[in-house]
Amino acid sequence: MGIPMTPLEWGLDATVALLLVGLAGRILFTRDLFEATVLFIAFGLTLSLAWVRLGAANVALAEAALGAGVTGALFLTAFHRLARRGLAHPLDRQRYRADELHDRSSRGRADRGDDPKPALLDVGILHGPLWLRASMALAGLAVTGGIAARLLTLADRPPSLPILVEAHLAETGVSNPVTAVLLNFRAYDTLLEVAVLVVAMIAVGSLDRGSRAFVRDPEELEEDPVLDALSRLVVPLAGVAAVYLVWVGSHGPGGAFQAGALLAGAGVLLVAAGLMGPVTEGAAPIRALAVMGLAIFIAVGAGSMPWTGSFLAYPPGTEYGLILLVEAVLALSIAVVLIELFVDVPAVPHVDPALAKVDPTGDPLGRRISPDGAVIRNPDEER
Amino acid sequence: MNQIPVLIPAILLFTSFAAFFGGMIRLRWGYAATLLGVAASFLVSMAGVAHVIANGEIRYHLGGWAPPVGIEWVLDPLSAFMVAIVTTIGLLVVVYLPRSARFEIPGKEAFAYPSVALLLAGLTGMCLTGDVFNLYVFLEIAALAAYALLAVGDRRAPVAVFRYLVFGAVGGGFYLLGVGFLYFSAGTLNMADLAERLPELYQSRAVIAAAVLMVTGLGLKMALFPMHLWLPDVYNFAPSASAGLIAPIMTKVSAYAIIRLFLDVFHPVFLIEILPVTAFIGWLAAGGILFGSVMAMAQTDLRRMLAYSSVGQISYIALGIGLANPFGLIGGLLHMLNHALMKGVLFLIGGAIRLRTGLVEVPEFAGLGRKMPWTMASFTIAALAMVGIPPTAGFFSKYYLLLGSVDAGNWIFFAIIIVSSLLSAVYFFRVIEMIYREPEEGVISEPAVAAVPAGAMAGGGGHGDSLPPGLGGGPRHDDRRSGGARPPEEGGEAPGTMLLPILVLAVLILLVGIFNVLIVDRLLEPVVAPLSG
Repeated sequence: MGIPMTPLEWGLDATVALLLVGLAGRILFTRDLFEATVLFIAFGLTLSLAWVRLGAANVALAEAALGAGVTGALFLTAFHRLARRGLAHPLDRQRYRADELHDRSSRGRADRGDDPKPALLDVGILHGPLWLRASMALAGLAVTGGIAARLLTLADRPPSLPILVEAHLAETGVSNPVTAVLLNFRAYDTLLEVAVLVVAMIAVGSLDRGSRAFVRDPEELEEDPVLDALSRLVVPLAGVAAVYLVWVGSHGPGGAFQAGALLAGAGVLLVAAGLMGPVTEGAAPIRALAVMGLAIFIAVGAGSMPWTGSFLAYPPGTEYGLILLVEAVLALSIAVVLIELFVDVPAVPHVDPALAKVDPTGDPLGRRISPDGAVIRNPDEER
Repeated sequence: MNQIPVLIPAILLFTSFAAFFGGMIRLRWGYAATLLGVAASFLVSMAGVAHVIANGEIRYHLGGWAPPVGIEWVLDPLSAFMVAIVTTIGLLVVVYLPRSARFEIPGKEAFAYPSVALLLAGLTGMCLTGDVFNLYVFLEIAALAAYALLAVGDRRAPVAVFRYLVFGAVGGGFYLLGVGFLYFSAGTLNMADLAERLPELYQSRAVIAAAVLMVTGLGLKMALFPMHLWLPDVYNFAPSASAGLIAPIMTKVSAYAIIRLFLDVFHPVFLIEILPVTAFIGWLAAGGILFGSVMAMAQTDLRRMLAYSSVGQISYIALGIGLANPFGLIGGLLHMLNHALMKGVLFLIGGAIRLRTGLVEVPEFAGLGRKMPWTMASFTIAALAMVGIPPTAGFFSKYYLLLGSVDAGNWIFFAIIIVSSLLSAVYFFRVIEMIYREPEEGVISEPAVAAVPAGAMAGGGGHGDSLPPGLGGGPRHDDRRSGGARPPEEGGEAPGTMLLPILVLAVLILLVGIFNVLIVDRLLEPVVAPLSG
């Protein structure tokens, strides 16, 4: 960038950079899960500021919606669920080793002579002596440092692709190079990214269903006027913004992924406020929407083959319309998949009833919790 | 004809949509869509093999954009060979799937069908793409679909698969980082362009770092010793059909990606001489062969034995890469095909035994030879092939590997191949002996077996502690949370839809063995040509 920066911009950038490092460090080293969750959301928002400063408004938006919004909400849900089972104490190594949760379900391996240590991520080293962990950390730092050094000293050879993209931009039907790459030059990669989302949803769905602790009963709504009012205010705005993002994607920062993330955020709010049920139990057309992006993409790609002779090529003159159509359906699909991933959190493997306690902090969503950890309104939900 | 490369994954992607959609309406429709789609992709890939043999390679530009702006797909002998393996195993397992899934993962079939289609789409795409980034995207699709298929196994499967997921994410991340380095150094993602531009950059440390990162990432994905830690638990606890689909082909495709990098992205000289990656892989493989065989000998659970044997068998393929001479690489490639057939049939047989008897522990297998004669005959053929006895397929890949070791003058590798064949003879003949032994009085009276939950059976191999029944291993039929496999069904021979794929695979093991010269001459010789030049 050739434009000199003002002292104010310097200060802003330095603050953002320092904040990022500080937050990341604090998240890694705090022993309080709730603090880590809140800091993670703050980290996501700061990161999106950094993207804004780098001139990537679309990435910033996606980061804010996905990194801070949806992911943060997922972490909050997970925390609240752990809290209800009396497992969300400040991280205490003796008690909170990852295998605590899983020991019960994995003890069977002991009889084969294997170590009974099937923790979530038990590489052994995590619980090893200090010198071992320290040397592993140093080795990791050395590798990372080496890679970073390589990156910084890369030969200054500007990739030739941006120039080629610029040269062919006029033929793509859109004037935003990002959209041109995503939906025309390398449309296949985008089609596959959508498939990745679908398969992630299927994978989550095929696991044991969560307790749906997050989904609220509509009758409960009056108990929480804030969430209700907020969602009535924010959701329509998010919907309008999503439509705008799809449309603007053809010539400026925006597009299906950002719009989908925004819609998903709105959807999560709706689910949280009890205004919308979980998608899996919803009407079939809504569930079908999740795979519709994939279907429309393949249909457009294959349907135009008689005219173009090539998969995923757009017949000349139709590029703009087709790209907009694909983007619009994609945005809906992405939103449904993200909401689905959010609502359908897989169950935490069975925990002994003895471990579950009355949540000392109270339920974040204001519901009453019975001593065995279930929501009173649906007593049979938990076990 | 020239649409073949794009048709195979596109059909499978569309199949996943149709299977999801059909499955929402009626389970049977979801299955019909899956079977039709996978069968179609199988036929197209066979046409692809025929086309490549007759007319040579096809280069396909997606969206009509020529590389480097667009994505290129390449159907050449190597990718045609791999895609044929993937779709063949895929089709046979899809035939096997519903009967086995109804027994082992009731209620989860609707998720399994689209996942199978997406897994096959991912794996065929990895083989066909000529673009290093596109390969990464397919890698992730295949990996996610595999996690979905494996995690629905018994209670311990989610934990094992979570570990696989972490390993897999690290592997994928390494690969992607390497792709980034290549792109910044050479300014393109297309494999053919990279091959052209890289030679002048061989001394660049960024390119060297890229090669190391990519090979390490793919090595993690292919469970190259000692990065195999995720594998045994995952295959052990997975549903039989998932293990029968994923064990034969998933790790092979990552090995294929390494071979593709070795032959067509970096010039062989780079990875042999400038950066001796192949030699390194060779020695890791030698260690893996011994480790896998020894660990397999120590197991009594059939599935766990097969899982450890997979670690050893994958190492044979890696050894072929490590030898880096024509004979060695032919041996490694041929072993991909052979091991896919052998390990596929063995895991499928494991599922059939579980369906009919609920047994997974080898010491309790007595009398199975009489109860399930055809299945056990297939087991015997596959076991002989694993040991490497002519004329089964397994002999010939080991033979080429031995020739490769001789060419390389590496007598240690030669000795390791011989020794590990002896070791696999030990653990497979132990099973064969048990199968054809007459059951002792009262040990295996059928109603008694059928009445005991599979979980208690699985843990019955001599654990003396006071675990409550059902925690010992295997699925509990009363376990709502794990989807709850049912108690074993009575009856002798495996049901038809399960027996058919088993028999077809057993026959294929013999046919591939007898006609291996054709495969080597027509498909594999052209692949390894760059090494002899």
